[in-house]
Amino acid sequence: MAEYKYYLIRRLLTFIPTILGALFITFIVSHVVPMMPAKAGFARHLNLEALKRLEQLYHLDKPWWEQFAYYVRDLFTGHWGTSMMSGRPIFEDLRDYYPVTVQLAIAGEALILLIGVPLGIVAAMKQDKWIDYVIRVFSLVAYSMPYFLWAIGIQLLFYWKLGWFPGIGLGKPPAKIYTGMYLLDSLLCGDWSSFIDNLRHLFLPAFSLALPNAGVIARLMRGSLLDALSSEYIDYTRMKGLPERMVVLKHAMKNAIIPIITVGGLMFGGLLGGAFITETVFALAGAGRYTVMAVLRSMDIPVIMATTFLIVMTYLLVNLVVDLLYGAVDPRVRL
Amino acid sequence: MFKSLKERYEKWKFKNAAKIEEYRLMFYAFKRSPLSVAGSIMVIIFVILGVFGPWILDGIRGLMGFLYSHGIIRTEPSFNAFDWSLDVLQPPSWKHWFGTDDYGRDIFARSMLGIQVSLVYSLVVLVVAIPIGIILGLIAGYYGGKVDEVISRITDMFLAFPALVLAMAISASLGAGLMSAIIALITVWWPGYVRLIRGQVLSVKENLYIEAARAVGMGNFSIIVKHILPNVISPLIIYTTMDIAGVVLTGANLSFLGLGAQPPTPELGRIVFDGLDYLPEKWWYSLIPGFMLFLFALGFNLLGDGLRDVLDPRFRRRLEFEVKGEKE
Repeated sequence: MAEYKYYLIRRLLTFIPTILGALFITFIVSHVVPMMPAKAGFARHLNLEALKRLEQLYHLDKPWWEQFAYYVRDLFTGHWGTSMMSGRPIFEDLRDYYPVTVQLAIAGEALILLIGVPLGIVAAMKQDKWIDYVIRVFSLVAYSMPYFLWAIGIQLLFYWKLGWFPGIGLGKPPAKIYTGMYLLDSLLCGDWSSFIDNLRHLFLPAFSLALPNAGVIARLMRGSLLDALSSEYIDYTRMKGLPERMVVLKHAMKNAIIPIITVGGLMFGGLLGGAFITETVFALAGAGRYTVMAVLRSMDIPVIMATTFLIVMTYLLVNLVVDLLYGAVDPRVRL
Repeated sequence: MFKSLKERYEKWKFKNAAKIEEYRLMFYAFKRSPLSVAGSIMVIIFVILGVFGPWILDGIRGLMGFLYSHGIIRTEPSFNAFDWSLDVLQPPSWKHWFGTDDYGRDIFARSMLGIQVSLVYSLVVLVVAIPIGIILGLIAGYYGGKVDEVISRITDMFLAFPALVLAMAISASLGAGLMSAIIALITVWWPGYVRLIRGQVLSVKENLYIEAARAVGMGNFSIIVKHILPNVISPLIIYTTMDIAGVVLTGANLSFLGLGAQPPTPELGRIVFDGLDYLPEKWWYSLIPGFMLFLFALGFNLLGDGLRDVLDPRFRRRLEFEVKGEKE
């Protein structure tokens, strides 16, 4: 386990420059790109005194590395500015809205694995049978459809037409709110009616968010399992006389699941981005819908930069966890 | 004159017999799979619609006008893509094939014009992003060391973002519009190509023929152009074909979020968004343009899927074995 400790330390150390790099990009996007027209616009209408004071207020008179330092400090201390749309500090808005998005993405990730992995295994075990073709065509169709088409189609069918699941808004809030993720909170305070209600409300959005990615995972699982099944150690287990199901699920899966962990982790970012669209269609009060409204109504740049910052941090954190998990599962990575 | 040409052709054919055989096998493999044929047909249709959309629309309008004036059809379809009319939110009918939107504009006409915007997106983005990816990827992979370190770290910085989120941030801060959406997509798209090309170069570089070329005294530049580049092309083609669908869908997502071309320019993603308010009764408003996007992406994905099989040498050997086995 000593080597795992070194791997852990090394991975944690590379985490810091990655964060700084990502923040540098958001800094350029939020400060360099849009500020120039703003400065030019100000200069025409304000006198020199006021311009200087504004520059001092936003540290615009400092060299860029100092500006970057102020930017990073403000981000990590929660000074994200005020939303033009709601008039509240963006930090407080996102503290309410972001947990909804994270909850949706986690539910989506769970559904991706629940749908994609079994489909991939079935397709690989029945290679070139009709069910394999059906699954392959399904996965192609699934990831060729844009998120919003899945969302609208699923909402039309299961909510408007069949009425099986609620398709608009969030569920009943639980008695006490700890994290802002209603599903988790209702479990924590034992509010079962709220838990069931939230589960039902979450199902359709998470399902529509998961399907395109589940197609990718099913396909990847099939390929990776077929690769594993054609290797020699599998021939050996077959010669030993193990039943086929044992061969696949116990021996081949151990190697075949590794790329799924990596890609599944990378998908989390896509889910957070897709949540912008799913939340808009299903009218969920999450960070995605909040940002979309901010952009559509008032081109609220600080809001979108704050959401981007949050999503990038979440995504990097998830990737870090996936990498650590990966190191624990696959000893070859640690070297 | 003709004789010498024919002789030359025979000579060429003899010299490249193995290559021709290989291409024939590729074509055979491609033709054998109905899905890739369907995909390529869809791609051709969508490219034609994208390039000649407005003219085709005019052509259909003229044809329908002709049929109507000769009494062959009873109502004349209306294809007004921009003018407001009183036919607000009409369901699909002979007059409006895909229905109308809340300004009474024809959704069929708008979808046809929207395909053009989607195609422009994907082409411009890829035409700019791929050369950047190839050049940086070749440099990083071939020279290695510090150059590689710098290029790879910068690439990693960009890949730390979910594509849609970064594209949204960039195009919002540039101000919504077609141009800023394209710039945003390019910024998001090139790092993937750098990573792909770099990985391919790293594996090609290890081949003996590269060492041989260096031993003979070939310069770095000509080794890269003559020996490395041709060997990274085939994975690049497959990746690109599948990637077009990715660009189209991400571009559609951007325009769905209000960051694409601004109204009244018809854009499929934006039409879907505008239709959201009228669900579920006016389903055609959102669903049909969304379905067009799906078909567009599906065509390119099917084609890429077929190309992957065809360009994979292992698959071709298996096929050759099968075909020759049948003959004997």
